[in-house]
Amino acid sequence: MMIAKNCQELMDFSPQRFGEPQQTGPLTMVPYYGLDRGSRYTPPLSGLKLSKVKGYGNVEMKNPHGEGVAIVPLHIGYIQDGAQNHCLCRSAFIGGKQEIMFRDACCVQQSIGGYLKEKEQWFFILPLQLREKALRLRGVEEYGKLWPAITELNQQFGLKTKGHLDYLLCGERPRLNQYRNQIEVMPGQTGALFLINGHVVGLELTPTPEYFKELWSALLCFCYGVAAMQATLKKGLDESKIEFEASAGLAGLRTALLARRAELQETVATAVQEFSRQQFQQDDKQEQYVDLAMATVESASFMGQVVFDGSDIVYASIFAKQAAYHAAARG
Amino acid sequence: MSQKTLYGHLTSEQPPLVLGRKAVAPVMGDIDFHEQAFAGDPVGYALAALGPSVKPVQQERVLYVLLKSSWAALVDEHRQVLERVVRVLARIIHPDRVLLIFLALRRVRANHKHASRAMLEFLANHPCLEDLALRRRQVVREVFEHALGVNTARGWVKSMIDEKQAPASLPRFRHDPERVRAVAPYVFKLHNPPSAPGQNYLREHTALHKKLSGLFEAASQPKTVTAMNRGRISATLVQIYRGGENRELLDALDQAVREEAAKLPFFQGRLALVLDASESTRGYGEREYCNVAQSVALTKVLERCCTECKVFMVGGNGDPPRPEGMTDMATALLDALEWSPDLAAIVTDGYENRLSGDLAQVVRGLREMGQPTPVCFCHSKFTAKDSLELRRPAPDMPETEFWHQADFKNVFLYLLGQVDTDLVKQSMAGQMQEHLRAYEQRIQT
Repeated sequence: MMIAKNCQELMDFSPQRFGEPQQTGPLTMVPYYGLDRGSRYTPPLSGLKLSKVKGYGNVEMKNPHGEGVAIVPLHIGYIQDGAQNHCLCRSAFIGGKQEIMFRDACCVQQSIGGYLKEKEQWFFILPLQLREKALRLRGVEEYGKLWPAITELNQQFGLKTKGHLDYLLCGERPRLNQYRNQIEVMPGQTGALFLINGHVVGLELTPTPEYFKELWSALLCFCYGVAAMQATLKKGLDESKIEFEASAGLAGLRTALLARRAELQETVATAVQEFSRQQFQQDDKQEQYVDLAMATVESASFMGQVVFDGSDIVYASIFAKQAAYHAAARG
Repeated sequence: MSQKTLYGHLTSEQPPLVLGRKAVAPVMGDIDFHEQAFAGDPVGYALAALGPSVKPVQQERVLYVLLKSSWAALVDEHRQVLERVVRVLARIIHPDRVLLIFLALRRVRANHKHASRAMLEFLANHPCLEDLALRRRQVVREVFEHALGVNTARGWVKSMIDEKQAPASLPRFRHDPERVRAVAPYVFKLHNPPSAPGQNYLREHTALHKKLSGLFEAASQPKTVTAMNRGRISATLVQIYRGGENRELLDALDQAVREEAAKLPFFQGRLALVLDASESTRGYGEREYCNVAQSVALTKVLERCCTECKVFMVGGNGDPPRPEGMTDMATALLDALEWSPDLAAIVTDGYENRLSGDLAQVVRGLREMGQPTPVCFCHSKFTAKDSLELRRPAPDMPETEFWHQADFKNVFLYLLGQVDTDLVKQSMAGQMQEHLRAYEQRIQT
């Protein structure tokens, strides 16, 4: 049974929850300031570990902390030298000291041998363009299931046509890392809305600022950074000019600058409004952990996974589907 | 021509000077600019070639124009300065390029006495004359022929090997006549190659550049750049940022800033500094605080080197400013310009996240409205080799960069080069004379 959910039930859209937008090229990030839900939720870098890979497609994760719960970020993946890199297709709860084997993980590095080990915990989040495919394939136990989509993505970037996500994530890493400096995480930020060319393409909410901070680089550089990079290739950089009367001097230039910023604020506000009207269908195959519930949600243009604590939302990763992303990238 | 235009051009990249095999003149797109600059102020133009951040391709152009142009209208004092600049340029430019410039002078039939003297002096006193003759024989011969005249050159060489004749009269600029005597006949194919080939001229040039590298900027980058080997001021600031804000460190900071400021010229004017201390300047890992520390170090030094200086902070909090907040350089620049400074500089890591593109728009707007105040971009880097490819929020703006405290003087001179007041021009001329002296001393040793 599917339960209909209005987007406004998923999160608080009050303007005071949103910070000032930050922008680089086609990518805009609007900080979201939610409640800090305390130390119960262990962050993904310090509170969640990849323990081993037991045969391709089987990834074991653990929460080394004695108490609290780790919410596995949706589409987390690990890259190590000399091992076949893997990523997960879904989110999950891992309680303190608990270990969980994900048998529906997928390999993102075709034809490379070796198993991931616990030694390194450098993680990424799947590029936006691959997320719909990966989420739809959750539960499917076939480790090569994402190779065709990765091959297609590599092709779009003019890279070698193989199911190797490394070509993109490692090959373009210097460029992707720059997003980390161009867009900055704000103190107290627990989530973010991501827009491409003024259209919402992702909503990420986390339980605490620490959680968000640890997730930030992977999310920004590899998930939305790759999407922004492709949008730049598709549409080119914005060459618009600021309109002002040269005779008005510095004051005129300042007014024109503020007007331009107000215009962008308005574009963002309109995009957020539009997003808030999305009608989501909630999957009834929920995962439970004590009083927490995890569900998969889908609307006409978006899908993702959310975690509820009663009626409150504590974690969400909702992203634009392929068609919606490409429409946004074309501007 | 204004100082700003001249330095702006000399610090910009241009395609290298090209001389085709049968071309009658070299290809040099900006020849008019250089000739105009020389005609306006020959000494200022020549000295500017030794200024900070001047590109090697521009130094080649300056050497070419200096030797091609007539000095007849110049007073002796000015001629001497030009001669010294030519001598220095001929040594610091790559020898192959210098020979190319001499060939270009032959093609355009530029045979002023100062040009002939410069050519002969370059060849006769070159520490690797033997190697030059062995590897570039034909070009060296052409240069000798152009400098002395074909017949004179051939007669001069013949007289060297003809035992019946009295020893040839040797040009006065030769320090070691015996070396020339050993090489010149071979160059004209009248004798065997010199028995001792001497030092490789390419290696000698590399060694010379290594020797000159620490003269006006940081000595070559150490193998590993750390927070502690980028100059005393930034090292102390990093210690303070890491929680060591005690009296000893604050005193050491003050002392280091005072010492560095004493090495810099004084700017008689109002300087507005837009200091970026946003979150991105914090960095992470071993580089944490390095970027902001070097920016703050430059700011603190420059504050002491001008009549009036005002700092416009972007993000940041406290003194020294702790990196935080967003990068809104566009508004800060407008604030700075409203203060009516003589010069405005933006000191930043180059990442703009408060509505990226705004700074470029404002800079374009300022140009459209004919804003007279020069505005420069100063990139704060961690190492000399940091790529700035994606760190130029306003690519049209004049820019300079620094990673080490030793770069501060160059940065300041670059900034002063953008100002056109008489006082600053005088100060710059004095600085460039000092550069000339320093080059001469370093080359001689």
